Amino acid sequence: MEVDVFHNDTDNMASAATGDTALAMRSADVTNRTERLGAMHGTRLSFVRSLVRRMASDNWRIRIAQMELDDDGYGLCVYSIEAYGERYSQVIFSQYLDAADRTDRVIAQKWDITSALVCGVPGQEDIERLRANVPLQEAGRLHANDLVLCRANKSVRNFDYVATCLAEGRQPDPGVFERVGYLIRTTAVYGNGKFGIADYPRLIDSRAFRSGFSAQMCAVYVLRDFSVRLAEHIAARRNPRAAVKLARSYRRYLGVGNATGLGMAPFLVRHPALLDQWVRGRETALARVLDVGQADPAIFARAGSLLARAARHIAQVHTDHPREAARNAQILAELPRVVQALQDGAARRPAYPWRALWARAEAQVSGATQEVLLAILIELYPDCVDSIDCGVPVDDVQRVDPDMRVSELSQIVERDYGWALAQPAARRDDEHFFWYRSAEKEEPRLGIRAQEPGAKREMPLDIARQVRRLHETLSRHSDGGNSVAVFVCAHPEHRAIVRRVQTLAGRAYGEIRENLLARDTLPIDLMRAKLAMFGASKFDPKSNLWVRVTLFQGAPLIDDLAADMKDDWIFPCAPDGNDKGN
Amino acid sequence: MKMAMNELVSLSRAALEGSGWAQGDYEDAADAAVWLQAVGFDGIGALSSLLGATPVELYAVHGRTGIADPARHAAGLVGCLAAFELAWAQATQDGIGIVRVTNAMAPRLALFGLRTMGARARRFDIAWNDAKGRHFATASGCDVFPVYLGYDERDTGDREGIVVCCRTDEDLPLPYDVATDLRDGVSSAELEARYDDTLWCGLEADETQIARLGQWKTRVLVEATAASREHGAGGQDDGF
Repeated sequence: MEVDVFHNDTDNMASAATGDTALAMRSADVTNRTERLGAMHGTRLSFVRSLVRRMASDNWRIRIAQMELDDDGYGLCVYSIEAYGERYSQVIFSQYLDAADRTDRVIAQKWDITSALVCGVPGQEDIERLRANVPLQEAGRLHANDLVLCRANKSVRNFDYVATCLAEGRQPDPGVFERVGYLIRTTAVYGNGKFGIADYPRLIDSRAFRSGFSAQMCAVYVLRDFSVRLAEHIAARRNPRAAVKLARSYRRYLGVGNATGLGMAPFLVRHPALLDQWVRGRETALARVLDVGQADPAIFARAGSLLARAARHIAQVHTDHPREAARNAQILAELPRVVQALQDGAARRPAYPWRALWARAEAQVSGATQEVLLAILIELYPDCVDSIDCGVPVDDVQRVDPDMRVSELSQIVERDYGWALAQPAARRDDEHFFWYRSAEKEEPRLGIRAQEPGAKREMPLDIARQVRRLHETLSRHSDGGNSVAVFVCAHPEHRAIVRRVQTLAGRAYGEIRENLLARDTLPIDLMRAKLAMFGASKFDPKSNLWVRVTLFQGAPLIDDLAADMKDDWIFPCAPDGNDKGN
Repeated sequence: MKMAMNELVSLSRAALEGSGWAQGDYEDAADAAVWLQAVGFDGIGALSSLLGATPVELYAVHGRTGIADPARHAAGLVGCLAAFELAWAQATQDGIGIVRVTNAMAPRLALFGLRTMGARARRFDIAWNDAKGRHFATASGCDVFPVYLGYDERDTGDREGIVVCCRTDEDLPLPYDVATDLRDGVSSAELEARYDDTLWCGLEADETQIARLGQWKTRVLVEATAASREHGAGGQDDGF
């Protein structure tokens, strides 16, 4: 199934075909550059936001069904998840981990916490099967009834500090949470057939989890609850008489950390139809907001309040990555200009007020600040944008159109891939990097072609280079009247890129419009795009190759889930120190 | 052993890539093999003749006149999907497109080609030969799953051959005769049921075959070096 509402016209400016009448959308030459993808923020369309809204509005019931933890917090916990008459369970194993074994990388062999989200209610036999396999992660085998496999490590400093505070009967200093807003961080959350778990198409019949990545996000949401309960459990066992629960505002602020490496980058290249759907959803939402004719003072005030919150949130992002730190500083310097433009708009109340604001932002502030404004504008109009489902299952099979003439294929390449063809073919650093899978647990890695072995085994993420090679062959092809079927039979080396070009001809947002082999490539930009679609916040690149983020920070708690839940947690900010708990 | 389909697709793609096939071909063949495995046609077994092999297929295309172009040597894998695309393009011009593949490297993969192209609103018929006999299948263009009509064990004349026929004009005759007493046919509904069953219960695969794929897969993996460990991916835990 696929939603293909828009298609690009010849100048690459997407516009509406159905549903939204003639909405002008930003060009993929803007949105799909890595610099812009690497500046994205989560929005109310992100998967964690839409999942929590569904959980609240559709009366999901999430509760602990079994908890068998020892004094140190090691053991088993099972959550029950009920929704739409469907029943799932999340089985969590907590175990001792020596500090020497704790690493966030794929090559790790042991973790503090491992977990599986499974169909139904596991019996003792199922629990034992899971106990024998889930802690092994990639080295274990799962069943088609198991939906998600994941693991997490404790944030040692935060976790021990919080457990100690609670055991001593006091609340932790919230300043600690400003720097690290979680107690545990996931290092992998597997779905879709990995290690024997259910293939994603199986979930199409599940109302709870048919939306893309919703099962994985649900698993992380449950782990978030578990992380706090685990700290409280340990505190209570240490000091049963004096231990306290974590204050509610702190519980709410804490999310789940996530360390993401290079694996996310290949995913975006391999699933261009998904990328198109995600970016198209955001751009459609923005276009709808920009098409709002009038805005009352309350909505201007709300926008102002969100801008202030965004500034506070960004000021609370602590990162040692020079580019990220500089960009955050730039956003903080530029946001007052956006506030001024907003105040001018509120005073004048022009028609199409957000178009005017957006135009000023485009003229006066950086792309990074524009992306902050985008997230806020989308936040203003839930009724306008919440119907856009970026997670709807999409058909991402790429197919050859056999009837197309070679001359038409040439035209499509030149129309849609100008960004690739314009790159100087002989620029020295155009093929600087190569992407590969290491023999060590198949960890995706990036190598420097001139210095490291393995380039002959590189992964085919070289879309720009493939397009250039195809274009060269097409330009030498003497008979433009031949069918593409004949062409790809004669040139099987181009078969993959031809069907990609053909399939994406109506999906302007499907390609990352950069050469990912070039020396100036920053893989963290690609990871951020995907993580922003998930709804991550607090982007903290630890190098150019991996990034740490927080998921569900500021999200409603499990016992907040109700039809009247307030869905207002974009740009979460650290709580003040006044919450003393119950 | 039980596996997920996506897991086996990844493994099969990597194995074929490791044995030298181009991306378009290894993706086609892997997808085909896993689909065949899911519906009970030993898809993984069908891959064995592709692992470590170079393309040797010959193909010829003809339309209404019945006069075929001279057979050409295929630079890639024709007998999986490309033959169907060629037949489609010929039928667009001529009402019928017929592609004959000889020296087919994994003839059974054509059933996946039929499943893929047969769901695109055109009538396709195929016949292929292997050691078991001559097999026949058809797709109406309306159904997602094709019909496997069965096989004729008496007909082993054209070993490792495939005939793909696409017709936009169904009054035109098939280029081959279909025996009436075929064995072990499988309806479209049964193929769909088998696929759904695999989706819900996992896919049964032979451990020896999987181990062989795993060996070929190692050829796409790059041995770790100190530099790759240190600079090629994410960093170490920093205590947070």
